[in-house]
Amino acid sequence: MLENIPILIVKAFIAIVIASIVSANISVHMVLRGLSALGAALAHAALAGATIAITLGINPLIGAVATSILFAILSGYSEERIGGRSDMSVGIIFGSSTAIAVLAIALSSPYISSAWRFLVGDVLGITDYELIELVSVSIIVIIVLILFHGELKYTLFDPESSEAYGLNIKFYRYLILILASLCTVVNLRVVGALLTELFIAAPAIIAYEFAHSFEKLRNQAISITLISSITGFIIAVVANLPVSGVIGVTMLSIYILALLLSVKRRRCRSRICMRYIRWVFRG
Amino acid sequence: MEPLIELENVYIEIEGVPILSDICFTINRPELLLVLGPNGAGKTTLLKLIVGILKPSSGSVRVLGKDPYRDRSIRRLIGYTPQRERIDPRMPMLVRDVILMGRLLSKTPPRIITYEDEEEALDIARRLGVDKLWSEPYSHLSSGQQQKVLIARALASRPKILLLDEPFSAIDSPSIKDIIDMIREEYSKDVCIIVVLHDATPLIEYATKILLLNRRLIAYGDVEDTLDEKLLEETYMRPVHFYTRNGVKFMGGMDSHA
Repeated sequence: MLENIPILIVKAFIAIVIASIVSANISVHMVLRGLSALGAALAHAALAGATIAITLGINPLIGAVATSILFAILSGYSEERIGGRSDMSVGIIFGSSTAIAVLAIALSSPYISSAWRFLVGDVLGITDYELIELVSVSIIVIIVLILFHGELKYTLFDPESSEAYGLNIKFYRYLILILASLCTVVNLRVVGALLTELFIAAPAIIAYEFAHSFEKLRNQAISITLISSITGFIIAVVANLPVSGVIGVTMLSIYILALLLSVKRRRCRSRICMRYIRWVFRG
Repeated sequence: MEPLIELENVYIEIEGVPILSDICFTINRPELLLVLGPNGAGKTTLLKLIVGILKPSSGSVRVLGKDPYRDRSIRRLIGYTPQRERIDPRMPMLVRDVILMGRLLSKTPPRIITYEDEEEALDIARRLGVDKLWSEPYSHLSSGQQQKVLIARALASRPKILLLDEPFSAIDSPSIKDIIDMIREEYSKDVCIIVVLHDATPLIEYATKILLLNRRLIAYGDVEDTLDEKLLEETYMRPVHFYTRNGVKFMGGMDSHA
């Protein structure tokens, strides 16, 4: 039965599974560091880099990696200069990376179809070479995350004490920003720049409703992303719909479900229900 | 023998604002030192200078003969407990993770937690009465329990120098007693302990040295010499009294925050 599945579906499935695992891992760090919105900024920077690279006739992966890392470092540096206000640095980086992406697309009119692939994702059109690139970048990200698991976790929880133990918290902040850039580049091929933000933010935001430990948060984020992306992929293939769009809607549905079932919001929900019941009976 | 801690003419300003000046003192052997002073006196800044998080604008800080700001390896011998309020309690961490943080980060890379590390950390948790909370989320604990977990974390790194920043703020009397017992036990093991306090009452009878601070060093020395009402008034900028009730020493007259 499996031999009847077209090879492009198999490749797309592998790409989606890998992108989901990498994104969920990065999502935990970005959300807990208050950098969930940076995903969109890095995605636009990667889009600009990939488009410029195509126009110049070089590998789009190189362009995407270069610009997204450049903007990630710029974001970290501006956050440092502003005094730890990540919202302000993200605002500036988001606006400027979008402006460069718009310019890059406008200047690459003969290659607009390639740019469009990176904007909305084209997982079913992924080539063997692109899949190898994606797997290689993902393996690098996962290995670094495993090697520095404890350090990244503790600099997140208590930066002051981590520094007191001799850790260079600046190094770990930039490390996670660079890993997020690489994750963005992986997502660019799979779900596109427009949906990368969802892959960077949603997994940890949904898992946070249930998890009380870092490891549980990470594992649940991986499970949630895998469930939503595989379900979305199957629906998209069967119903002949855009894969990235369906995955995004599936993730949104899971988020709404999580809000309704959240362990952490139980008290808040019961308070809202009681208020509603009182309002109905008073009416 | 090398002094444990040595500060020479330390001056520090942060964003152009002078925080501490003319700080000179030496600790030659393990002491139980209380750093006393009003809010905004620079007590936490002094601890951060000793632990190497901050660099003095001028002067020098030496811990076991080395500059803790430049030589990060020396920081592994210091157990530091910051003020509990400085940690975001919404972070998804278990008590186990928090205590093991001290154990893991005091190692050299690659940092791997072994079974022995976990056993030792659990033993420290048992001594502070938080072993039953081992698998509980840190955010679910009371203020006192969180404080004990943070102290357990500092002890898990087997420090030679233990720095505690306001360990009794907003916690109940039984928790204060547990922490005092632990401080005495560690001190008896030759650990140099520096406790930043606003009100010396809980630890006054166990202290071996006192340091009075208000943006500058007002006094440093033995308990009897430093707990002088004039020096205390100069430190707190208001009359501060010491009195004994039922054999227990109390400090009174500072502002309401303890």
